[in-house]
Amino acid sequence: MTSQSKIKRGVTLYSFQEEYFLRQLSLEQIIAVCAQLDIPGIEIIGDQMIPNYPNISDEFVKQWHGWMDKYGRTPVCLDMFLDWNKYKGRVMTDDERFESVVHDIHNAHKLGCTVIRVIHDVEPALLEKLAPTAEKHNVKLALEIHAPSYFDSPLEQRLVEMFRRVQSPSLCFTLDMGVFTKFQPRVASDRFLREGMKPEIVQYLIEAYNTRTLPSSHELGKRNDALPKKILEMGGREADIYWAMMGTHSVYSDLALLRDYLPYVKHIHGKFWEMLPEGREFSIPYDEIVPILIEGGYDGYIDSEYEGNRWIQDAFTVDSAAQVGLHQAMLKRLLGEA
Amino acid sequence: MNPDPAPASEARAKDRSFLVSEDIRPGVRAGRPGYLIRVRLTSYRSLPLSCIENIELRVDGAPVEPERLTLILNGSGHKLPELGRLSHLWWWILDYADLFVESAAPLAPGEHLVEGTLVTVEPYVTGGRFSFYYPSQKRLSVAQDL
Repeated sequence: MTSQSKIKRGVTLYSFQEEYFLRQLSLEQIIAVCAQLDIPGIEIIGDQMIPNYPNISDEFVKQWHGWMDKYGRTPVCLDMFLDWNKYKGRVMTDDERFESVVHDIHNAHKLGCTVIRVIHDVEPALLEKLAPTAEKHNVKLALEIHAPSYFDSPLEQRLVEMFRRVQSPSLCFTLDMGVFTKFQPRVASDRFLREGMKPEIVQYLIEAYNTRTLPSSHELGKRNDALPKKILEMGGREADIYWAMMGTHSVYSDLALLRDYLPYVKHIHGKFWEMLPEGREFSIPYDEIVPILIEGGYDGYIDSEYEGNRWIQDAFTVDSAAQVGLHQAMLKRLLGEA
Repeated sequence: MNPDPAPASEARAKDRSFLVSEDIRPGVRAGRPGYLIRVRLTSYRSLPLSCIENIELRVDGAPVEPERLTLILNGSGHKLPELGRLSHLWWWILDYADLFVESAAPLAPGEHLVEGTLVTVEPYVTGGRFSFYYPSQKRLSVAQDL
């Protein structure tokens, strides 16, 4: 591996949500941990770690930049939600949606972030309308492709068509590496067992996921009735259906398409479920993915995103820093930094 | 949808549950006596109060009528039917709130079985306004008089 890659490393602070929620680590302490772990780029969810978001105070903005200077980190990405159903009894109007994202763009600019992770389902027409504002503030609106969607899904195809037509430097994708979940995450199947699911059902789910024979309708917008039926047939409980639906909804998408669509990807969520001590992710084959990113000339950030915390917190003490540290060490190795 | 059946996992999941492991405190609100139970948001992100669909409470197995409940956040009290209109007030994930339960008779000293369910809407879900249920159950003591 040469060290010619222009790919940069970062972390989304979402990864530290357990310690943050339990008040074991403050926002400043998390940023300090990022410095200790030698992670240059910082991504933040406004609604998670910024008081009174979306109305960020000047005091917070000052403190934020102070922390970035003190710990030598670079703000990279602000994660937004578009809260369509915020109002009871009606959905947001088109104007409210526009204003909501404009507010996010201003917030990203204030925080020094050059990317906004746009939540899935935002319509191409809205993004097109927002492009001039985003360009003016040097912010990329990067809609997140997240399992079970992929480049060839209907919304993504409409977005690509719009990207090609509009040619704005501010319109692009965030790609979540969860779309390359090759093996059923063990943290999830272990949780199924702790929740009292019959071992033979758990074993079935693991094997069916790994062999792509799970009776799941990953067709968007359709209810997946096949999997609940199968679980009940095997003697499972209603609760088992919930856990199975939650824990097996990843996908393993075609890596060949990544080569084709990489030019539209300007940000990456380095999703991981469980880093093994030898520096490998249990489910996602980073050693197959990262070389494609390097060859394709990807020059944005890969931000580690630890997702295993929520699966193990019922039974184990979460150590997000240890897990993020292993993920970053793996990235360094694959990027030729190690 | 029933997001958290979780009977096997009470041991640690309680740390992020709706009911906080703190004593029940006596209180008075608008001249009416009652008691306060500390609660927090279970979501990984902040929510506007318009996305708190409901709060269900049982004490020692008996359901508490919704009209006896007031959610107190950042010093302001809100009755449950008011929450739907409060899209401008955000419940930040680190903020504790109190649930004031109007009660003419004080709770007896000692432990009580408290069951609380927070019902929320994830406002970014585009498919509709779906309810998510976050049940929790704790044995909480009544605070001794200071």
